[in-house]
Order: sequence, then structure tokens, then C-alpha cells
Amino acid sequence: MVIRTELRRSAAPWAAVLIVGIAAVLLFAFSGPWWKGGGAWNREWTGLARWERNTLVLLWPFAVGVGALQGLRDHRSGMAELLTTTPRPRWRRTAQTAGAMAIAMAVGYLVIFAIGAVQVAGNASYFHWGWTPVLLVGMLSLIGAAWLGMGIACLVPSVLTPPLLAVGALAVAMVTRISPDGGSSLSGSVPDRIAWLSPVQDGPDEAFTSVTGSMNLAQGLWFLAIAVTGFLLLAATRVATKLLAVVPMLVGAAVALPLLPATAAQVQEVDQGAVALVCAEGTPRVCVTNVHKEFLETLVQPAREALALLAKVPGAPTSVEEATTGQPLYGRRPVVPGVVQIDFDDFDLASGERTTTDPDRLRRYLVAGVGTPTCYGRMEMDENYMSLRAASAVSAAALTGELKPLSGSSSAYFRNELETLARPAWESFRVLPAAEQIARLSAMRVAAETCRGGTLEILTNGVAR
Amino acid sequence: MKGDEHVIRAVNAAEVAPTTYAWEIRADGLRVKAGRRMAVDGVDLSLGAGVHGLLGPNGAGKTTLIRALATVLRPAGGELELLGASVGGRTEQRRLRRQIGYLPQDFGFYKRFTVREFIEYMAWLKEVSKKDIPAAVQRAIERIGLADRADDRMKTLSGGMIRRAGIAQAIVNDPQILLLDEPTAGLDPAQRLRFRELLRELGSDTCVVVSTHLVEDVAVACTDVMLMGEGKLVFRGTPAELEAAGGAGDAGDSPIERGYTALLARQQPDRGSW
Repeated sequence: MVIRTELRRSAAPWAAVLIVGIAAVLLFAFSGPWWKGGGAWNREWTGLARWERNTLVLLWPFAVGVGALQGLRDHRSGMAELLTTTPRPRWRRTAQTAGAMAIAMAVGYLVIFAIGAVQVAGNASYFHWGWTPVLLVGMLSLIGAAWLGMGIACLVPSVLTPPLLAVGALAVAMVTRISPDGGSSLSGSVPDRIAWLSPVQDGPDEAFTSVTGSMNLAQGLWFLAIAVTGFLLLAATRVATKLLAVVPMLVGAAVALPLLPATAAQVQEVDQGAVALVCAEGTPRVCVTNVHKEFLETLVQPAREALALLAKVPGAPTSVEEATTGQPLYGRRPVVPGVVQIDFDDFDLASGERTTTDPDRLRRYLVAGVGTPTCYGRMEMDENYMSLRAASAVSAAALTGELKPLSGSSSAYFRNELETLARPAWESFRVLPAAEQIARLSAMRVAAETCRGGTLEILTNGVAR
Repeated sequence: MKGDEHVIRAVNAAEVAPTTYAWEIRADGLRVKAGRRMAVDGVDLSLGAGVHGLLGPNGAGKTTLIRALATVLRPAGGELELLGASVGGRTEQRRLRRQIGYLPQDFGFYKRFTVREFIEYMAWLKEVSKKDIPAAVQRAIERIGLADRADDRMKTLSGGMIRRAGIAQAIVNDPQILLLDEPTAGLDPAQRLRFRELLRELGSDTCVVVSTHLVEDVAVACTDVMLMGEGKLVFRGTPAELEAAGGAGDAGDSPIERGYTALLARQQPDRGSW
């Protein structure tokens, strides 16, 4: 009865609404920071759970602030005297308010997940429960934040407490979020382990990884400890109890810190269920990861056509497999001999957000560079980049018989550069005798596979400069 | 308020059990501090059922005495027994507090709650058993005449209504001891008449202590009067005895006011006109 009243009359209902609102704005109205590929928040279950954690950068400070606002109610209402004369113990009374706030936090966080889940359910073919700890830890962090805010506001009942707490929490969330990444003046400002005491997490770039168990466990314990401290501060009637309230938080930190991963690489692990290969029946071999198995049907026909085209070139790959790692920021992913790797998030395939289903583009992608992967990471580009792109386009033209841009989404600049580099190369290449064409393609393949450079010259002159 | 439409209430065993104490409130040389000042300094009391008016000028120690009776303040000296139990012990205090109703002078409330929700909340805090709460709340709301506003938010009530809601929360647990600090402040004349009637009703089986500035409230509604001055009990008697203490020469517009000023002047001869 009392908790029902609290759910209606405390800050709980509008806090839940605002949590959903803030997160919805972050997820729908902004294009980043998430990669629009397979790791996007609305594509796969793990991606959803992890990107929702990213919205905590605003939700977590909000929860602290709104908790503090609620915690001020007894002080503001002037009921303190009357409340001290009632027989029911203070912790029983405050548990009702804290319970209402916890329900609001949990419901708000789950509603965001549900909004994402509706979309994910339509997109994802790979279902698993591996995302639940990520979701639960995020939910617990919000409850802990609200309770801590309530507790501190009871301790320091000033109108300034909620805004100061919220701004302070925002600063902590920002710094700990940015610190482990490179490329910022805040990079490395706190040790990585400390940074991982923050609930805010970056989502994945692709759909192949999950958060490690030790990370979830350590963070879960830590946020539980925060919640206990918050509640003790809220329920304490004696000064000694208030002082002792920090103990759970200290113990939580002491237990969590050694459990937290030492390096950023250990925060996530390969989701073996996601990367397991699913292959089409028959030959040649065409496989995609379990997480993208819905794409196999679209891929198998153009992939086999591409392999048939590649078969003309000696040494060319003889099967197609989906790459089980995302394209790195720097460097290339390892070459698998005899295999053309397909990356559905490659910008040659995923022009806007969705991987193309156009068989012509898929075929062209697979034969470009005679089945060799690019030598460049996502963040790399140098003076040889354009010539490699041009060589890839020409080699694709050589096998398909038609020169077309590789990418649907490249800028006009890229297309012009390609046109000025690739068009003349293609015109001189196409008039060569067939045997010479095959020989040059084969030589170009070897050069591209080893990233030696000079691929365009091999196609135009027969030898690298 | 329709007197013939009272909600019928079950009476539990504890209520019909014979009492083991002579007085609901008994104080012996009670001393209570307000901050560093000894605001109540040696008060002897023995109060049973009935309406006991507590009169006195500002700063006489009325509120401090009531706060001590409400278990907000601990006695600094002397003895205080409520319902036969000495005030102090923890478990005893919890049992005791179930039997007390208290309206503080500065009555605070949760503004967003409706009247009913607020009274329910207070009933729950006073450990009224869950099944009895709805009926107890309805009864309290009807007794103070707020039934038509029961589902309005507390913040929409006028000053007099808030005071009545304060009285409703004080009586919702059918207390053995009811402590009302300035309950009539903000009530209009008609409401005060109704309130006096309610006081007389409550006083038939409850020990009611009403602190007030309004001498005429005491004259009509109280079975006896206590007059406080400078932390001490100056006078204790019936309203008629208070009237008798005043003479034609004393300040005041009514016999009871003249009695009031006469008794205080006797205790504090050097006190000025304010």
C-alpha cells in the first residue's frame, strides 16, 4: 500500500519516464558514437545491451541527481519531527521510498532495452542469453546511483546537493569513459582498472564479442556495494551507522579491483557462439558466422559465381568465409590462405547502414584484388591507398568485364580519383591478350596479399616499379 | 459531519484489557532542555482521560513539555511515565509510540500525497495493522470533516484544512495519549466549534493534552487547565477555578482571561505588558 503510494507520489514515476526519454534521444537522435555495422544497438542482442550501457554516461548522473532530490523530501517537507515519533523503524520507512526508486530505475532501463529488443528481434537471427549480465549490471548501477544520491542528500540536506551530485557524477562518468581510449587529453588520466569501476561502457564495433564474466562480476559486486552504502546512509539513525555506511563501498572496491581486467583487451572476449561458421551445402565452400546466418542465402549464389571467376587466376582463393574479427583501426586482419574473407561491415558493402544484397556488388567485392584483403586499417590512408583501390577496381573489372566503383558510398572525391587512375589502367589492360591478363592478375594478387605495393603498375606495365 | 454515520470499528484485546496504570501521563520533577536552556524545569503531572488544556505565554515551555510527552525529547531530569512505562527504553518506546498521537506545532507533510494517502502513510508508520488501515483512515478523515477533500493533494488544502489533516493523522491510530500543539491555529470560528466538540468526544476515553494560546478554547472544551510560566506549572485546576482566580482589577475581557493574567502576574510580578 505504502510502496504503491510512493510509486505514484515520489520522484519515481517521472524519473522512469525521463530515463527512457534521455536514452531514446541518445540512441535515436545521434548517429554515433556507435558504428553503424553489426555492432549497432538495434542489430544484435549483445550490441543492444552494451550500447545501452553507453547511455549511462547521462543516465547514471541523472539517477544520482534524482535520487538526491528524492532524498531531500523529508527535509523539505518539515516532517522530520513527526516522523521521529512514529514506532515503525526508519529503515522500514525508507525502504519503501528506496524500493519505489529502484523499481523506477529498473523499469526505465528495461523499457529502453525493450524498445531496442523489438528492433533486434526483427534483425537478429542469433539468439542467446549472454547479454543478460550486461543488462543486469547496468540496471544495478542505476539503482545504486539513485540510492547513493538519496543517502547523501539525507546526510547533507541542502538544495545544492542534487545539482552538485549530478554534475560531479557526470564529470566522473565522462573522465572514466574517455580515459581508457587514446587520442584525448584525458587519455590515461585514471588507471584503466579505476575507469572500469564506471558503469559506462562503449558498445562493440561488431557482433562477435561479449563482455568477460570477470568484468561483469566485478562491476556487479561494486554496484551492489554502492547500493548498500546508499541505503545505509538513508536508513541510518545514528552517527556511528552513517560512518559505517562507507564500509560496504570500500569492501566492494577492494573486491572488485583485483577482479577487473588489467587491459582493455580483456574487457571483451570472442563470443564463440557468434563466430561459429555456418556453411552452405555443396561446393565450393561458402560460410558465414552464426550471428549473420540469415545472410547466407543471399550470399551463396554471388559467392560461388565470384569463386568461379577467381578460378581463372592461378593461386586465387577457392572458398568464401566471413571474417570473424572486425576490420582493425590500424593494420589488416590476418590473411587466411585460399579463402576470400567477407566483412559485412566493410564500407564497400554496407554503404549506409545495411549490408547490400545486390548480387553484382557482392560479386565485385569478392573478386576485387583477386580475393585479397585490403592492406589498410579503418583509420589508415597513405599515398599508395588510392592506387591499391584503383588496382582492386581494375582487377574486379578484369574478372567481371565491366569497370564500376567498388563502393556505393564513396565520396565524389574518391570516385573521381578512381576514375582518373582506374579508367586509363583499365583501358590499357583490357586490350592485352588473355594469357597476359591472367599472368598480370596473378602477379598482382601476390603483391596485394603481401602488401608490397605497386599493384596498379603490375596491372598496367606487367612489373612493379 | 454526520454523527450517526460513524464507521464501526473493531475493538482489539489490548484496548479492552484493564489498564495497569493509574495515570496515562505521570511526571515527577520533570526537567527538559530545549537546546541549552532548561525549558521545562521541575514539572509534576498526573493526567488521566479527559481534555487537559495547556496554557501559558510564549516561551513558557508548553511546546517543550509536549515534545517530551511525544518522545521527541528525552527528559534531562526527573521522571516521566507514559501509560505506566518509564520513557527511555527502546523496545518499550516502540510499543508506547503506537499509543501516542501527536500534532506538532510546525506540522509538515508530503505535498504530493493526497489527504487519504497521507493519513494512510501515517497509520502505517504508527503500525496500525494492515487490515485496519482503510477503515481507520476513513474514520479519522470523517471525524475531522475532510471526507470531501480526501482524494485531493495535500498541497491544495487551505491552512485550516491542513491543520485538520494534522489532527486526523494524530487520531488515526486511536491513541491513548493525544498531544495537540496549537491545533486551532488557522481554524475559522465554525471549525473551532466543531473541533471543541471533537475534543470533548475524544476526551471521554483518551488523555488529550492541548496546548493553546486561545483561552476561550480551554474554557469550553477542557476538563482541566494547566497554566505554565517559565518552565513551571503555575496552576492546575478546572476552568471554573481559573476564572475564580481573577478579579475585576486584572487585565482581560472575560473572567477566564482575567484569571489567566492574575495567576501569571502572581508568578512573574516584574513582567512587562508583552
